[in-house]
Amino acid sequence: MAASTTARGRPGRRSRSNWRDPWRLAGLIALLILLIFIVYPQAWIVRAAFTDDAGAFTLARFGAFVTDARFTEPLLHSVVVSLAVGAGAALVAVPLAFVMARYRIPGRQGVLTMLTMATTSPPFLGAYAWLLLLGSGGIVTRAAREAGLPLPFESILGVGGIIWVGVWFTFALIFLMVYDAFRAVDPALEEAAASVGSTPWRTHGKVTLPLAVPAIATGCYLAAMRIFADFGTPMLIGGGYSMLPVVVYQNFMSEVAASPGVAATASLMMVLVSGLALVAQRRIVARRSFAVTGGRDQPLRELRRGPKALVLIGIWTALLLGFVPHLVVVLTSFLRWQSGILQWEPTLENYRRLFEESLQPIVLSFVFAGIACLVALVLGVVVAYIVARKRFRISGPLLNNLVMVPYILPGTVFAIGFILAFNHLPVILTGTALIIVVAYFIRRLPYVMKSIETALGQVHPSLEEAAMSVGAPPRRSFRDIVVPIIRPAVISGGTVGFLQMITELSATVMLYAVPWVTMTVVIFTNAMQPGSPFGVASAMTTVLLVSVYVPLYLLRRRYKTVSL
Amino acid sequence: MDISIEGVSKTFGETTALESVDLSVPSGRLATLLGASGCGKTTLLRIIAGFETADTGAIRFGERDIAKVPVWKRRIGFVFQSYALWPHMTVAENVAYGLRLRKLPKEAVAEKVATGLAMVGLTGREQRRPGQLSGGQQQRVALARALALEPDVLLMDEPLSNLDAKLRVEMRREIRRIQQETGITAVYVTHDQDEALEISDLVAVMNGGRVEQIGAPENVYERPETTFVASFVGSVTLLRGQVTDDGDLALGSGGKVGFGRPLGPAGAAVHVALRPEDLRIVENGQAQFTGKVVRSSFQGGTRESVAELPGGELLAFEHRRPLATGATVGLVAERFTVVGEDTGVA
Repeated sequence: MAASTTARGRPGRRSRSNWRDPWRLAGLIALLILLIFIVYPQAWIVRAAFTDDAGAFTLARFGAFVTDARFTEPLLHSVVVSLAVGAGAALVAVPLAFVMARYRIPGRQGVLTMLTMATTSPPFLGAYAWLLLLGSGGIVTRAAREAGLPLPFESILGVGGIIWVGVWFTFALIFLMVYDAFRAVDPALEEAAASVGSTPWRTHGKVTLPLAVPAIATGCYLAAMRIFADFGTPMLIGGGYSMLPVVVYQNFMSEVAASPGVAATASLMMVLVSGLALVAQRRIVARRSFAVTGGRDQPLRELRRGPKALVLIGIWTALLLGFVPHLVVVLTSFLRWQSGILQWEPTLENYRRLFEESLQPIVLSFVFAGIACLVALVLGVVVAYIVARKRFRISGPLLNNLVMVPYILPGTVFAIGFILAFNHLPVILTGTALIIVVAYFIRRLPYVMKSIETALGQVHPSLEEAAMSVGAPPRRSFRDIVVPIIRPAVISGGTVGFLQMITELSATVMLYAVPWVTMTVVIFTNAMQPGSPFGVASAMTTVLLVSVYVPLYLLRRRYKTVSL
Repeated sequence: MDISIEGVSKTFGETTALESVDLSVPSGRLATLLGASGCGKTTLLRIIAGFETADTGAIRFGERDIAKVPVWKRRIGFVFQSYALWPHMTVAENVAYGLRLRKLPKEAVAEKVATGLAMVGLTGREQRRPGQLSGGQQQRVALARALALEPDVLLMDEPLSNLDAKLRVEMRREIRRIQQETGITAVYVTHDQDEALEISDLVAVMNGGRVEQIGAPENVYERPETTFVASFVGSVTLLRGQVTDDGDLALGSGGKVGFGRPLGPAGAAVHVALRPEDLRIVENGQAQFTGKVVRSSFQGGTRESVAELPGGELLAFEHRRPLATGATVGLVAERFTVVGEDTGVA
């Protein structure tokens, strides 16, 4: 504590007590790591975007970008699809969340658990599974064709498919946020409206809904950004509909493009868009941030039989559609495939082949995500503690802001930065396993750090002071008091981080090099090649799902709720 | 062990929290730092504890200069306003934590924990978690934890402000009893004058980062040295004026009041502090003050009314029989204090 008081006026003493504080050193190391792995790669992207092939400063690349339909069209597509997904998912989620928050619905806990599960589903899973069902050679399309039934569409490929998959992939995210907001509205506010003569529907429109707007905006933002940054979905089912992450990927990975400048320019445009989206979300939330906590719990009301049946049908239909991908993948993993065509024969053959031929990616996925998760936790604790407790005048604010940068970096952009920065001296990481580990840990650091910071907010500084007053030096009080109290948050933040790492595709697919192949890469490459062993890919996806949902289940059982 | 503080100053950025504070607490006594929020009392306590460092000045426990000794080596017990019990430990573990840090043998720890909890009347609650206790019980645990190590000094930062009124009275007597039984030197921070007057050996009234007066509770109450002290401790009427040639008080509004003895050198600007209980209703002829009753309130044992003097000054006085608003009343001051220093009113 002595260091945090930073008494002015006595420079000699101040600097001495400050430098003795071990958090100083930890903070500097953390800062160094963030500079190397966040600032340095992004600086390379900026440099590539602002220099011409000869190395001179130029703005021409941005001029070329905004006048070239090969880029403006995907940019527009990406924005439109993201908005459509955000709006669509909100249309599904908000009414359901409202009914669930206010009325007695049978199976509430089960529904909430399933929705939490849905939010951690691997990002490309939906695209892959819907492709299996409704792709041009998909199970349903083929069956319909054979039965002579007309389908309203040729296949799921295209913009409609992306939005469809996106909505079912993200609605649970919005649901959970909005559900909490509806639950948190103090009933007294609504009673006050009723007491001045407002009808229930008017009250909901004029009081309840506005109070939930920040949550809706945040949910929509998260949903839209998931799709905006998602590489797997448009790549798998985009068909001819080009979206920015795919264009950037193809541009950067194609052998023809000798200069990374084009991809770097497009990357900056992506960051610009996601940054603007963040600003918009912040403004909506800041302008309408009302304190709605406190007060009584919302009572759950009874619904009449008819509406109740409708609500139940709605909820379960949404859940079913959200979980179609999971069902399809698990089911097909136990069926035999022959040259890309599903045979309705149960078999364990897929799993036998999986464990014989592709055990390594499974192990690697666990190792990469596991190590990255541990590192993220350690660094997350350091940064969160410094941000929450220490009043370091320079490193504090720097850490706080830098650590959040990956939050707005799409995986594709992130990977390009890494490749540009780390394929030459002084730091060479490309082609190694380390680059994947580092990428995972840096990308998830903001989430891990925020969850720990929130938990630290609950640990009143006097708890540590009390320990010191009975003779515990700071290190000891940190170990005995702070760590045990924040442990649940560390564990749940770490678990969620691990889940997101193990399902990461958009950066991995650009960074990996043989033999460092992860589960997601195997599934993705399989899904991209017609006639490849879909059964094995399904089996691997099933393994991935198990490795995601078992920890999540254990976590939820132990800590009751999990915030993502 | 006695505590002595000499010339302690502290600034936070642009604001001055403490301005050259001196204070000494004799061994075994309980001193209260009394003042409104923001007066620097908590900062001073935290400097004594070692949670903050003073910019200048010396702090000694006994003969030992502790300015550079870190908190964990100061041998203090600290009771927090928020209790600061560790939620992940049981009551017994909370009390035992410091003892375990000292590497005391298991039996000794158990014994001291039992004694400590018995002292605060919590025997039988050892295995509870802090969250399962009431506010008063939590503060008892905090007290037992602070005393378990038999520290040199006990520091308490508004320990009762989160409790309800009745419990507050009960707990402050409890704290006083324990402090006297253990004979520990204690510093107690509060904004509640009743609390300060009841439990202290010594009251230090603080205002704007300075100590305005230090003394026994009776002294501070009966002989306030500044207008702030007079108005902060207890209820008071301050009459401002100038001493006339014959030693009376010339009120600003023009009236003149005699107090039976000269108030000071002629021409001096003084305040006369009058406590409501020092004023008595008399027949008109003998009255020092004559005024109109402007309000009157029933307070159980007594009534307190306010009379408006011809010059507009408001005078609060205590009496027993009901008075009608608007009635004329004559008053005599049986006791009064001349306050020399004008430091404003609370």
